[in-house]
Amino acid sequence: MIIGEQKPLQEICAMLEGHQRILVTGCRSCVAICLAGGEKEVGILAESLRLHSDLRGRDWEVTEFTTERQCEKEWVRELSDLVAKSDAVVSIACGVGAQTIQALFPEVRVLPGLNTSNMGAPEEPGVFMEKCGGCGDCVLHLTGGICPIVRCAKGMLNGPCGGSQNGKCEIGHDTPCAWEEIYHSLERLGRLDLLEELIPPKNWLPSRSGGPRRIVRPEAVLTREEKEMRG
Amino acid sequence: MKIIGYVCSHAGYAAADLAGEERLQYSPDIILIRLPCAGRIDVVHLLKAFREGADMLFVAGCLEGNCHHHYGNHEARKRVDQAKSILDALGMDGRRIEMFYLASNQGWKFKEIADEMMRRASELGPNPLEAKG
Amino acid sequence: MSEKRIGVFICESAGGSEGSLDLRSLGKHVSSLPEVSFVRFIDQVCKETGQAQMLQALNKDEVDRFVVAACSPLSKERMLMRLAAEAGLNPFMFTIANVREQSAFVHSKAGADLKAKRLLRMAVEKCRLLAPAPYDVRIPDSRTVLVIGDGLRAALAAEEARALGLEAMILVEEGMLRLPRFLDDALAEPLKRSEEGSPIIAGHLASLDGVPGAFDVLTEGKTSGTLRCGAVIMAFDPLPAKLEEGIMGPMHFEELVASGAPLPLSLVIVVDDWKSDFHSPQAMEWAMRTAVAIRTRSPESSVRILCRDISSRGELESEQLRAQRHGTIFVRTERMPTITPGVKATVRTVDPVVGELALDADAVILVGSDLNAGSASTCFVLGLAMRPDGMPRESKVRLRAGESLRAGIYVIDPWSEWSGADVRSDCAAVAARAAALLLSPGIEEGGAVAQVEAGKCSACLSCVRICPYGAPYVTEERKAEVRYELCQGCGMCVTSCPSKAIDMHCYSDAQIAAEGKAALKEPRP
Repeated sequence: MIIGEQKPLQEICAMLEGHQRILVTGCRSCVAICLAGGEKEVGILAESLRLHSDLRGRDWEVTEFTTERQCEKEWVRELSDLVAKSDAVVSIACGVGAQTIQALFPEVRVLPGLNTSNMGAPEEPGVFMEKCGGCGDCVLHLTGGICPIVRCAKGMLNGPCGGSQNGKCEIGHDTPCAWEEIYHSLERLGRLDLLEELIPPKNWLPSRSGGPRRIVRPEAVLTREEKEMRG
Repeated sequence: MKIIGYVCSHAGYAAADLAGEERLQYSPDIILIRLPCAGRIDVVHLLKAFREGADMLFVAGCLEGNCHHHYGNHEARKRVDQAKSILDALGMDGRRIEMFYLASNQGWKFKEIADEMMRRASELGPNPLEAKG
Repeated sequence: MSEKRIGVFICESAGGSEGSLDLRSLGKHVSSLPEVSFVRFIDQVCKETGQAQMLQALNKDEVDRFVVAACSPLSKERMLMRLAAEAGLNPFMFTIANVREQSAFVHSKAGADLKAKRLLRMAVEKCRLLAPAPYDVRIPDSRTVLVIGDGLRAALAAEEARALGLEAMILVEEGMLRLPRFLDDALAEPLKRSEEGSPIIAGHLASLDGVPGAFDVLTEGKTSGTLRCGAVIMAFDPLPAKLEEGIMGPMHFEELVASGAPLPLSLVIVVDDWKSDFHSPQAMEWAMRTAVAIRTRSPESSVRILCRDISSRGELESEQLRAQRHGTIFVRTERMPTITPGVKATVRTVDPVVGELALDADAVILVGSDLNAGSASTCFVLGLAMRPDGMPRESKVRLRAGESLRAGIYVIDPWSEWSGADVRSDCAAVAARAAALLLSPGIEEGGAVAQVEAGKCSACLSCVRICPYGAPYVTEERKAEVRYELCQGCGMCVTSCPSKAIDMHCYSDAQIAAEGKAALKEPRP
C-alpha cells in the first residue's frame, strides 16, 4: 500500500495562515492502514488545529470528513457540501487524494497534510518498510521475490556490491543487504541458477521518467457510443 | 484549577476510593473519569478536554507489568506521549498532561498524584486559553 | 417515539455517616437538567428497603435509564445491574456518581458540595448517551475438557478434571503419553485412574473455534476429526535440555545412582533459569533434594548448585535450609555458565560479588529444558504467547493463575511464578479453573464490550493485533467483528482503530467526551 507520514503540525498550521474555514479530510484506504490519515488521525489533527486556533485567536472553523477512497471522483464528490463551506482543505490522504480534491473543486485551496512516501508493507504493527519501487518492469521472478530496485540501496540488478557486513547493507541502520536476502531466497527455492543469469541493464522507460505514466485497459474503456448512451 | 484524571477501574479508580476510605484529603479541583482500562484513552479525548478548558490532565493505570489487561498501561503511555508532543508543538507545554502508574491498594499514591498535579498546575499556571477569555 | 427519561436516585448515606454533603441542594441542582424525570432520595441504596423504593419508582415512572448518587461503582455496580434487570431495563442502563469516596470523604465541605454537583452532572450526561448493551448468561454446552499434552502433566490434569465431575479427553501426537521413568509412588494411583478414565486421541490440534463452554475442535495427524469441548487445558511436559558429551541431565543422573555406580566427588548442578523470566521451583526442588541425597550418602562429595535465583518459595524454603545444613553451596550467577566437559569438567561463570569463577567438577548436571515442538505448535494454533522452550505463558494478572489470555483455554506453565514444587497440585489447580467455568450455572457475557460498524472498517487488522483476548476477527465479508463472548472490555481496539469503526458500550467515545465536558462545567453556586 501507499505509505505516508503526516507533516509536522507546525508546518500544517503555517500553510493554513490566512484561512478560516478549514476542512480536514482523510481516507479509509492506504493511509488509514499506515496510521497516518484515517478517520482517527483526522480527528486528532482537527482537534489540534482547533486548539492552535483558540490559542492564537484565529477563529478557525474546522470540519472533518473521511472519504472511502480519496482517489475516486465519486467518493470525493461526497465532500461537496463541506467544501462549499470551506476556504481551505487539508488532506491527509496521499498525494493522489489531494490532487483529486483539487481537480474536482478548483476554487478551494487544497493543502497536503501528508508527505506521501513509498509503496510498502507493515513489518510489525507500527513499522512500515518500502518494498516496491514502481519501476514498471518487474524482475521479482529473477530475484526470489525481493525487489532489488528499492531494497538494495544501490538498486543493483546483479549484486551484491561486496560492501555488506554480517548481512547488513553498508548504509547502516540495520538495513538488510537485499542481495544477501535474494541469495538465501533463491537457495530456499532451489533456484540459485537464476543468479548466474545476468539481468541486462534496466530499461527505465516504464519507470519514473518522461511525465506521468498512463496505463490503459482497453476492455474497460467506454466506446464512443457507450459514453453517449450514458450521458 | 480544573484537573481531570482518566483512571482505570482496576488501579486508579480503586486507589482513589481507598484514599477516600482513608480520608486522605486532596483538592476538589481534581475530578476523575472512570475508564475500563487506561488503554481506552484516546488522544482526541485529551485534546478536547484542553480545548474545553482543562488546565491539567492525567492518566493513571496499573503498575508496569501488572496491567489487568496485560498491556493497556503501555498503550496509555503511548497516547499520553503523543498528546504531550502535540501540546509542545502547539506551545501549550506537554507537562500539562502526565501518565502515572499505581496499584489499587495504594491510596497514598493516588493522593501523591493529586498533589503533584496541583503543584505542577500552580507552576504552569492556568490553561492559556483561559487567559484569552 | 419514546423520549429519554432519566430517573435520579440520591442515597441519603452518600455523605457518609458524617452526613457532610448538602444532598437537598444536590437534588435541586440535578433536577434542572434536561430529560431528568424525577429525583428521589433513598434511605440506603444497599439496603433491601432502599432497593424496594427504587424498584417502585422505576416501575411507576416511564424512565428507561437512571443515575444513582451514592458511593463507589466498584461496590455498587453489580447490585444495581440486578436492580435494573428486575425493573425490566437493560442491566447496563444506569450510571453511578461516586459522591462519597471521591467527594464527601476527601474534600472540605464547600469543595465537596461543588464537586458532588459536577460528579452528578457527569453521571447524568453519560447516562443520557447510554444504549442497551448486549448481555446474556450462557450455560456451558459441554462439560468435557480437552487436555493437550504429551506426558505426566496431561495424565494428571485429565484425572484431576474427572475427579471434579468433568469428562476429559487427552490429545497426544503419538497416541501414547510419555511418562518419566522415576515416579513418585503417590502418582501411581491417579495415573492408573487416568489411563482407565480418559480416552486418548492420537493427533494434534489443527484449529479451535467457538466460545468458552462450546469449542469446536479440529484435530489432524494420526486421527483426523472434529470434536466439541467446553474447555482446553494445555499440559505439555518440559523436555530435558539437549546435552553435550560429559554433561548429564537429571534422568541420567538418577539412572547412574540407581545403577550403584560410585558417586562423583565433586558435583556441580546447573539450574538453567537464565532464559527470559523462568522461575523453576520444580527444577530447584530436584537440585536441592539431589544435593541432600548425595551429601548424605557420600559426605566427602561436594555439591554446588548454580542458578540465577534460588526459587524456594513456600515449602521449598525448608528444603533449601536442609540442603544448606548438609553443606550444599549455592552459587548465584548473573548469566548462564559455560561448561567445558571432560574427565574433570570446568564450569566458568561470574559471581556478582566474587567475580569470575572457574569450578572443577567430576560431574556436571544441567537441569534445563529444550524446545517442545508439540507445545510450540499448539500455542501457535491457539494464538497463545509462548516461552523460548515452547511452553505457553500463563496470565500474569492477579488471581488468574492457570489461565491463558484466551477465555476457556487453561495452561500448565511449568515455569510459572505460581507453580509449586509438586506437579500434581499444579495440575489440580488448573483443572479446578476449568471446572469453575464448566460447572458454573452460567457464563456472563456482554456489557461493556466493543462493537464494530462494518461499513467503516478498513480491514487493517489493528484490532485483531492489539486485542489480548482474541475477540476481534475478520468475517467472510472481510470486515472485522468482535465476538462479545470473548471481549473483556478493555477498549484498546477502540483506540487503535484508524478508521473509528469500533466503539464500546458503557465507555463509548461520545460518553467519555460528554463526561469530560460536564466535568469542566462549574455548577452554579
